[in-house]
Amino acid sequence: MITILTCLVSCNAWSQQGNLSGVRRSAFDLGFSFMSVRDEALNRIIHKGPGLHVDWYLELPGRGGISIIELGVGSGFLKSDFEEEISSFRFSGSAGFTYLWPLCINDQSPHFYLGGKVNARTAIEYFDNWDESHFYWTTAYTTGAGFRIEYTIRGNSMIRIEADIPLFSMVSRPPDRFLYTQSSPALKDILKDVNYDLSLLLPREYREFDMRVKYAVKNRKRIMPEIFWRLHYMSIHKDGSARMKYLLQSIGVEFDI
Amino acid sequence: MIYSKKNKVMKNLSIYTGIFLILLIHSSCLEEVSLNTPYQGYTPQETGDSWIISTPEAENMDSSIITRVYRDLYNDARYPTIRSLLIVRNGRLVAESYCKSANDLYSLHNIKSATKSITSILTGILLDMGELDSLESRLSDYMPGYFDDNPKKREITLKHVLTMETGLHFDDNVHTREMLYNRGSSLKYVLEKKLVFDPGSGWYYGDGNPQLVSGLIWELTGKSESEFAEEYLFAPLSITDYHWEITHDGLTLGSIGLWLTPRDMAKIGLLMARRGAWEGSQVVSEAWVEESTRRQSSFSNYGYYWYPIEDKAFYAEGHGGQLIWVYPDYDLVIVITSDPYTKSWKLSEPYTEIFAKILSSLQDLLLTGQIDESIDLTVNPGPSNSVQLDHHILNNYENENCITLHTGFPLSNIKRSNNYNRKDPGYRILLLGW
Repeated sequence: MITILTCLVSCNAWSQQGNLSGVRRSAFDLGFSFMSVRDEALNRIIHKGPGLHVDWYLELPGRGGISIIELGVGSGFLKSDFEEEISSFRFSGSAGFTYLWPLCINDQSPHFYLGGKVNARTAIEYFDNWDESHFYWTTAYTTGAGFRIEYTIRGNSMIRIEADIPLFSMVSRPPDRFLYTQSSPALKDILKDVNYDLSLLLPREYREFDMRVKYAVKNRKRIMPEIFWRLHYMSIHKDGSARMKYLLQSIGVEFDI
Repeated sequence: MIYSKKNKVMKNLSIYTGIFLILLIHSSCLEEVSLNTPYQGYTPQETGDSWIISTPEAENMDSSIITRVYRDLYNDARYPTIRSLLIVRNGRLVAESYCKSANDLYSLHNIKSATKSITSILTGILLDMGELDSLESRLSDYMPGYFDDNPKKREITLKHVLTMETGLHFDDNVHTREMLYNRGSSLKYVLEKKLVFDPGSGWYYGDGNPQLVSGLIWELTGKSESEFAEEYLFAPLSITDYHWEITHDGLTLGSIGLWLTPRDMAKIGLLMARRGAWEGSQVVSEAWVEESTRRQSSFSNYGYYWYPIEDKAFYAEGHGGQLIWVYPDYDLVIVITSDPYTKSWKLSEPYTEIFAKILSSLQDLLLTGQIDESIDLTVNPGPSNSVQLDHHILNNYENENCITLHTGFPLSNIKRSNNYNRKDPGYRILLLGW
């Protein structure tokens, strides 16, 4: 928050060109990630591994601000240092809506936007074993703050930082000592599981931070493919549920479509 | 010139990109902080259950060693998934600790393939009841409808099933999961597997065999294995809280899927240590306990779903480190539970050291054991039948606090060197004689 305020105060001190957030655009990200997960639904050892994620965005500028619709899917292939082979597969999906208001209304860079975001996110991990293979999950319906900073450098290139921090969340996790049995692979059973015991968590129980730093080169009004770095952290400590920590970093490319 | 400049730029770019990627991967890992809760000691809690609580000293165990064992449990990075350790001596609970969560005391725990050893006990009870003629009884006589036309399969006896010598090609990596998803008869599913050798002529570990025992219990008693267990095993032992998975045909899983509390696992161990007797009644015959825990397979060190240790001790084991170790001669039972869901086979390997250390704490131990644990050194008898400890050799094991010495000769006349003190008062030599 201090960082944001500092940026706001110094907003007018930076003088660059116009922003790009006033343009309707649709884009998708392709990211190569490396994640580490400690999920007590499996055990307490940290599992690490590579993954992929694809996200689609639709950005709609309006009179007062920008609406952003986003959909994303991801995967991960995880193993611990004690294992020779991949022990769990992670599949994730998310859908979100963000509304951002510009904080600096002049045309000078950097441009700041602040708003809110509602998001639905679920990650299903599958422990693949010869017996008692089972799913475990993290589902979160969140609402919180979102912000964006755009900073134009050297006239035709731009750095954009986007981040969101959920403040209120409804979360489903497996119980702490769940009687895992062979999970049913039927979709209806999986959907039932991933919404098990949804409950409201306090910010100290659910911590999430998702940030993207993007670098783009402008070509007239069209944006060339951007490269980005993403940091996504999540920590859940819900009474009676298996605790979980997750950290993902990825690098990738964003294409306009 | 331009070419070399480009090369230099590319080289630098590659180096920076490489450094960035390494930093990225390194920094994207969560921190491996201590996985355990702070050391809580090992004094068993009074919960009002049937366990009699005692102390190591009262049961002739060296508490300094027990303390070290439990401290290691909390601090040693080699045990990242261990959840509980219980020690029962002379029928009393002398030590227990739940190093991941205090709730584990009451929580059901997946004992994985240690379930097979419970199935073994139930088979013994079935025999004691006279429901079966003998272990040589052919399964096809009791449940003919599940067999196909292969005449060799009809020769499979109960003993073949109990020793994993049926020859049925039941590959756990593939078929256990299929059996669990299979909507039809789990018995037919197991018995339709091809024979990879004639029954009794080889050893092939598989989850299919105990499922046949589960089916046999159903055929003979009209009860599922879990119902049978509840009546004839769990009720006498006052085991009231358990969970046992079933297949789609309603049969209890004979091989895996039983959930017990750690204390109830210790009851199973104590029943076996007491040779089937429990509070004045014989739950399972002494003969069955003796027989089922001795090596019965010609091809593997395997009893009837128990793992024998040189006919002196035995244990039940489930994947990930679910263990019930039983030393009847020392009236000792050790139970370990661990996080069950892992693909690693290495995590429970260091547990043998825990057992060796606990054994070395027995102050009344008769040194006739044969357990091959820990660091082992061969020593020769010295003057006056004493063992000369070579400091040059032992210094190589500076950091070990328990060394097992295999003397290769009887120790009945040799004084045990349990007072050997090398810097550390907790240091102990465990002598195992021939």
